[in-house]
Amino acid sequence: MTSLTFAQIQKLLSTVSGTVPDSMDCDGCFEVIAELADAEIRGDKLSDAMKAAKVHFSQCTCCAYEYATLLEALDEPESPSL
Amino acid sequence: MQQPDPENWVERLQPGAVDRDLAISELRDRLIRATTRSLTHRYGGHVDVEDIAQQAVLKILESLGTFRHQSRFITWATSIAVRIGISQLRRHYYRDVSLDATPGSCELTIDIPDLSLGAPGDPDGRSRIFTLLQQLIDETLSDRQRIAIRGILLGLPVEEIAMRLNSNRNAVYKLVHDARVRLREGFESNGVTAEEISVTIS
Repeated sequence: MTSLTFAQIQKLLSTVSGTVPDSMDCDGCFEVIAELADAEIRGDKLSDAMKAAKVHFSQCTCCAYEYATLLEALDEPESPSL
Repeated sequence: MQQPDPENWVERLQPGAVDRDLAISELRDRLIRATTRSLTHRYGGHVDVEDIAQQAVLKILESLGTFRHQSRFITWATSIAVRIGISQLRRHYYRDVSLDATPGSCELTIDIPDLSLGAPGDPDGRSRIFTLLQQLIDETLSDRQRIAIRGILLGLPVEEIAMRLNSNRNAVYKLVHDARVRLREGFESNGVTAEEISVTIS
């Protein structure tokens, strides 16, 4: 039997109260992650799929973390402008 | 919208292309720089960026036909390298964290202690929500959902939980999300709103 700490209970309740419908899964998110990154870097309008990926990030910390890592990876000072 | 490929990556990486070897070398160098910048300070930084870049190049060459030109090529390629790198980092970082339960085990109950006494705020409201949470976990979640939730609360990434449950990332994500929906609906059907939960735990 596992007894949760107060911090874990807070985390669980916080994720439960923040749960919203998510039309995307992690693989679907990965399919649009590159185009989303480019669109956000350029400041372009987001497609419906990109908006769905943003919702997915709010529900999936793994994908959100990978996206943040991708943006950092792309932040190359000497890279050509888009 | 189709994105231009000014560096002609796709053409240059095709089998038989004149400067394919040079293109592969340039791509590998770009991925080494990108992964060095973005991965070496994460999850303890136990990552061999040259190995990650090499694995990524192989995957990219294998998947070249699936590139849809909806992003810059280098963004797509970097996303593949980042995913490979993070997966390896996570595997190493969490290798000693145990889920402490396997499917079929009877040790699946999440016990929520009564922490309301002595805590600031509304102890009665907090106690009611904690008790209801315990009840909802016991009555509405499956064994696999309880194991997956426990993994999340231990800080394990979804893909790590999936590996330990002999499942896949999508399936575990859905398992956990469905569990969250069930708990939220359980609270709502008992008259507890998300706002009330937020206030209680703040």
